[in-house]
This record gives sequence, structure tokens and C-alpha cells, in this order.
Amino acid sequence: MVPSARADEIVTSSVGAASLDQPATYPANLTIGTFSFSIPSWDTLIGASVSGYFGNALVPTTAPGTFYIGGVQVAACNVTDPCYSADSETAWSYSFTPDQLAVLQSGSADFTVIQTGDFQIQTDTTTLTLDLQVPEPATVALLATALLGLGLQRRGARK
Amino acid sequence: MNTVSLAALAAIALAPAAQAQVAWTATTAPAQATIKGGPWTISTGKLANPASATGYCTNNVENVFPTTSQTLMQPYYFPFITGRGQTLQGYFDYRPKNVNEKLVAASSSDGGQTWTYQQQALELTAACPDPTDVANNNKTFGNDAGLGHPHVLSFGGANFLYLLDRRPTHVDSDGLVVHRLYPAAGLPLGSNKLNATAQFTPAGAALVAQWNFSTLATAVNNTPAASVALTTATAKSLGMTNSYTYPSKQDGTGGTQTSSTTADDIEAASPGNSDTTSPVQLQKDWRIRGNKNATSPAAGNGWNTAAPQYTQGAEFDVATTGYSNIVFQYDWFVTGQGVRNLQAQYTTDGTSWTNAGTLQVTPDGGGYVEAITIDFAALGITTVANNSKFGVRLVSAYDPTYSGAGAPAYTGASLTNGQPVKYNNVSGNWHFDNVKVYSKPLSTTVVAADFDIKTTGLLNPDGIVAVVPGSYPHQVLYVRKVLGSDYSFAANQICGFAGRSGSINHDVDTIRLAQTLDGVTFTDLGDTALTDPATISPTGIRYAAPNGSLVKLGTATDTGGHAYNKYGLFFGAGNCLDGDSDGFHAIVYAENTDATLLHWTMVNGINNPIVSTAPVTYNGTVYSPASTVLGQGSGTSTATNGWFGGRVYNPMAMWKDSSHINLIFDGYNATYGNSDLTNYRSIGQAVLSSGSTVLP
Repeated sequence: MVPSARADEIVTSSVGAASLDQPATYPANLTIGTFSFSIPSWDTLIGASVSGYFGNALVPTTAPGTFYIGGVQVAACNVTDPCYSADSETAWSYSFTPDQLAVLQSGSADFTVIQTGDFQIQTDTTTLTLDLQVPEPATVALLATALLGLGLQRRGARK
Repeated sequence: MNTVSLAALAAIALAPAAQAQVAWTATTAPAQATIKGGPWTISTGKLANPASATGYCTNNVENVFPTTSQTLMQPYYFPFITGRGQTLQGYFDYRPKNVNEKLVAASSSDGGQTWTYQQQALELTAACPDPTDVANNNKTFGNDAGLGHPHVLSFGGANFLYLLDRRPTHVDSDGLVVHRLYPAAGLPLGSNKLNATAQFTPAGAALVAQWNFSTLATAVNNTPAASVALTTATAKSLGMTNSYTYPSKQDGTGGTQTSSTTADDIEAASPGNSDTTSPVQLQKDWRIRGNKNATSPAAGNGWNTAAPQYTQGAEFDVATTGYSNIVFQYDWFVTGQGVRNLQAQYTTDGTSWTNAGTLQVTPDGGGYVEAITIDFAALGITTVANNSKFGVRLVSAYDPTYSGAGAPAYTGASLTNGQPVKYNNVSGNWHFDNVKVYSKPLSTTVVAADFDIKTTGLLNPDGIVAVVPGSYPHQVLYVRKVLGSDYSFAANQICGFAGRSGSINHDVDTIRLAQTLDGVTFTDLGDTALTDPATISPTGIRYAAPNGSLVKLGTATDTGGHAYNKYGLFFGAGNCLDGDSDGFHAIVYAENTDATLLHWTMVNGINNPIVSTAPVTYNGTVYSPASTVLGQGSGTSTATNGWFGGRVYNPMAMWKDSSHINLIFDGYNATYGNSDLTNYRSIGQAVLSSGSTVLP
């Protein structure tokens, strides 16, 4: 069979700007938000990336911490980094490796942080981008035909 | 290493080498900024005559005339700006003359040309100006008694607001007041978090003990009872019973005699009282002094230079059992001949004592210093909580500025030719009032809102000039202003004539570098030599103003071949021509020459500044710069420079794009007068081109 051509689809999900309450003790596990998205059952997740900002329009810096999506570390801010003491918000980004994509398959992933020091976690809008492999229409038609045939076969068997 | 660190390193590696000095040119001429909304501005026309208070208040209540359209930003002052491009966040000192001063936040979407009011806070008084004393010569409402020089520093996801406490005896002596901000959308100052009246009173705190002396008899009292005591609270004087030698008479005749016996007393307010110039002094207070044992025509006082430091004064012991987050507060009065310096100490075991808080200095000639606050919780001193042995001593200390005969020694409250002189052993004493011990609510933060916390480690801070971007520990340039302290200079290093202000100024200004990890405790790192406090040259820089700006210029190589981050610094500068140490003669520009940030080259000095005030004429000679970058204000004559002819300073250089900055600054009209209630403070804006790359 001749391999069908691939067509990528881009799906994005965002978590809005956040200013978390200061925890009483450190380290503290905190949830910033949840990414929600839909991956059609016939699509294949072939890549993902995320971008965001330490700090936001109100406070340009953030407390130190390690940031995770679905348990995968995607960013970190240490006290010696610009994100801790910059005069404007600091951009960051991360690309998931193929073996990390499994954490995104469910259509939902928490954006969390382990805060490690004073004062407050501050983030701006964080955007998760998913690259999906979509089957060619011919492949879909072939799949539909196969499903139809399977259905007819079962119907015949019931008779 | 995370992605941010890599990005930062990459940015440094890719940043252009910035060896050459930036040659700034004007893209737009300076123009007055405007604001919509907020408290009244002059051009609303509601105050028809700036030299009159008519219209300012109705039935003794301040009129509020929010502007519904863009009007000139008067009386706004001392801008501090954050942001990039054309979107800026501003914090301004809204300051009608001597009254109703407050902090105003406003935003701009056009690089600072026009502003939209957002919020105001920290109004210290809602009092109306006296129609018969618009110039406020009688200081009915105080003069320069508010907070000023706002500067916002952000780190760790929190914004901290720094302000100068301008109250007499606090200004340029205390640390800067620090508030933590809790901004919300459209509310950069937060919601109900900044309150001027709460600044010196801990919100929600329990008053564990207090001495106000108001119910005690006006008689000798060496152990006055507390007026409030939730626990055990006792007071006593220290060191007044002693065997030191005293002059027999105040005129120095009569030989000497020895010893004194404590004779503290409760003093009532009366016209003859020395402490009737402040509202709090209209009530009774506690006077600390002694009487000589031997018969003498002079009143013995017990205070003596032979007493070891920290042994004379008063002690207040308050069991804090069951209470935490302890705050100690008191009013201190010094008579004209009293000892000049006070140091507070605390104990947690009843026997050993440790200094707490800054060394207090009385006003020249004595007077009351009110609400001196030691926030033990803010200082991180937790051992004073829940402690039955807690106590505070308020004791005399040697004057660190005195280097004359017998130094170290106590000096007197009254200065001679502006200089402290050794205490006379004959007269003078201290009074205390409103002594309070608070237990404030628990806070999880080091810096709490609504409470008086001041920086430590900054030397005589007048305000922060600029924060070094991305530094850790956080580094700041700040102005150190030592009031009236150039008398020890050589005669040819003291301004020899009255400048623009009409008087000779004796303050010493320097721009220094300091660093901090927590925003409260600083370590001074040294003088930048950006000013020369001894210059009397009309083109020299003797004085400096806080609220300047650092512009990132990329990397450069110092003379030793070491790469460093190069910055351009804009700040307000002045000299003897001004007769004032506020650093308002011109906006100047310098660049650092190595990584220490202690070494700088002046690129645009007083003689070729970014912008200058009007020429100064003295003894028939007209002093004006050879050139300026910005030239004159739009629509103004070269003779006066219009709205910045009298003062121009506090430049905020905000990154606009890779080769331009928006410069926002403030100024005075050259022709303002003391009877002018409002018409001399303005905010202005101009665009400068760098001709080379400026980094965001």
C-alpha cells in the first residue's frame, strides 16, 4: 500500500495570567491552571511546545520555582536569574520530547509550580501548542470503508 | 540550566559591543504632559488664583475636581515610571504646596505624553490651606512633612514601594519607608493596602502597654505608672543618680561639685513649657533629669559627659508573655541644651542589652520627634516575643559626627555654626511621651503593608536613583544626603554665594552603590564619585537628585580587558548656582566604565546637559550651559525655559525602541513664588535618539 501523505493540525490552549497567594512555607506545590484541549481519536500527537512569561503586567518578576505541565518540567526561575529581579516580564519556552507527549494525551494537563522561596509566583498568559498528525482524506475514506465493511460483516453474521 | 538563563546568556553574547559613548540627540522637544482624571489640576480653572486658597476648600473640606479631559499635569512631581515602549506605568508625587500631598498612580499608552489616572494613596492630611497664610509661613500644616521620592523595586514576584520620610528629624536620616504593594488590575497601588494614617500605627495591633502620663500628677515621679498595661509594665530612669562632677553654675563660675540624684517628673503643658509647639506636647509628658545633691543656684540635671555611653535615659520593661510581633513606639523631646543623640536598646533576659533601630538625632535646637518606631518583627528579632524579661532602654549615645576635643562624646541639641559641640553638663534634658508596646498581627511576609518599615544600611538615604537591571543581590544607586555637613571643608570648597534659592547650602550629596537581598537590609558598597561635594565650579556637579534611570547599552570592555555590562545613567544634578542641594540644575548623563558600577564617565554634564534650567545671573555674570541636547521647552522663551526654568530633574529614561527612549521628567517654573499655591510643578516628556543600540 502506498503511504498516505501527512497533514498537520495545530491545537492551542492557554492559561491566563496568574498571581498566586504567598504560601506559608516552602517548598510549596501550587497549581497555576489547567490546559484543556481536544485530540481527535484519529489524530496523532507528534509534538508540543509551550511558551509563557515570568511576571506579568502588574508585577514583572516571580518568586523562584520549578514549573511543570503534566509533571514534565518546562521552566524554572532561580533567584539569580533575570526572572527574579527583572524590570519587565521574562519570556520562556519549552519543547516536549517525544517520550514526554504521553502526559498530554488525555486532553488535559495541569500547569503547576513548586515554589522555593519568597514571595509570589507571577505568570502571564502561558500557551501550549500541540502538533497533530491528521490522516489524509483518502486514508480516512479507506478507514471508513473498512469500518463499514466490518459493520456489514457483523450484520451478516447476526442474520 | 533553564531556558531563561540560556536566553540571558545568549542576549549578553549577542549584544552589541558598546565601547563608544552614546551621543543623545533630541527627536522631540520637551513638552508638558497631561492627565485625565484624579485630583484637581491647575488648568481645571477651579483655582482661579494660585496665590489664593479661594476655591481650594468648601466648608473646610478639600474640593475634588476630577478632570474629565486631559489637562496639564500640575501639581505633579517626582515621576517614577516602569514599562517598555509606549505603555508605561507611572507613580507620581501629587503635591500642592505644603498640603494634601499624596501618591498618584497613572498609566500612559503614548510614551508618557498623556496619562490616565488610576489610583491615589498615602495622603497625609486632608487639611485645607490657611487662606491667610497660603505661603504656609507659619507651617500650620507642616512643610515637606509628607512622603516623597517614590521608587518601586520588583523582585520575587512582589513590588516594593520606597519613599522618603520627609518629616523634620527623619528626612535624610532615617531609612527609606518601605511598603509592599499588592497590585490588582487597574490598581497598581493595590486595594486598601496603603494608608497614610496607618503608616505609623500597626493596623489591627493589640496595645500591650502604653505610657501617656496624662493622668499622673505633675510632680516628681521616678517610676511612672503605665496608662495601659495588659501585662506587667514598669518604667524608670537611668543614670540620673550618679557621682559625676558638674559645674556649680550654668555660667561656669562657682567651681565644681559632684553627684546627682534622680528627680524625674511629670510635666504639664503650659505656655512656659518648652514643649508646647506640637499637638502631642499639649499633654503631660515625662521629664528625665536629676538634682545635684549639694545646694546650688543651678538646677542639677544628672546628664553628664562622664557617663559611659548607653547608661543615661529611661527604661521601659514590658512582659510580652502571650504576645508576638512586637513593636515599640515613642515620642522623644530634647530641650535646647539636651543631649543630641539617642540609641534604643532591648533586652530579652533583663540584664544584657542590644542596640535596636537607628541612632536618633534631635532637631537642631531640640524639639519633639514623634512616633519613633522599632518594629522588632520586621527586623527579624523574634526573641522579644512571648518574653517576660523584655524591655527597652532609650539612652544617650555619643555623637558620631563629633570629632572635637574629648571625642567620642555627647553633644548638645543646639549646634554652633551648624556643627555639634560637646554637651555642657549643666542643663538640658529629655522628655518622653506616648510610649507604646504593640503586638501586631502575624504576617507571613517579611515586609507587611500598612506598616512603618524602613531600610537599614543605606547611609542618609534621600532616595533611590536607579536599580541595576537583573542584578542579584539587587544593586541600587542611591543619593546620600548629609544635611548641613560641609562646614569641615576648606573655605574654597564651600559655596561662597547665595545661589538661585537665595541662600548658601551646606548639604553634602553623593551617589552611592548598595545591594540587598530582601529589599530592607542594604549593604553600602561605596561612592560612585558622580558628584564632587567639594566643587564650587559653575559647571561642576556638587548635588544629585534621586529618581534617575539606567539604560542598558550592551557589553563593553574595561581598560583591563574585562567585559562588563554597560549602562547609561540619567540623573538630576546641581551645584552652587542653585543654593539648594536637591540636584535640579540640569539633567545629566554618564556611563559606567567597568563592572563595579563605582566608576563612571560624565558624557553630558552641567555644561552640556540633556536639558538645563534657565541661566543663572550672579554678580553680573550669566551662567548657562554651552549647549543642551533638548534645548528649550516648547513654546517658551530661552530666557526662562518656561515650566522647567526653575528646576529640572528626576529623569526617567524609558526604552521606546532599539534607538530611542522616552524621557519623562519634572520641573519648576522659573518664576514661582512662595505665595504660589500650585503653579510650579509639572511633568514633561521628550523623545531622545541614541544613534546606537539601546537594549530593552
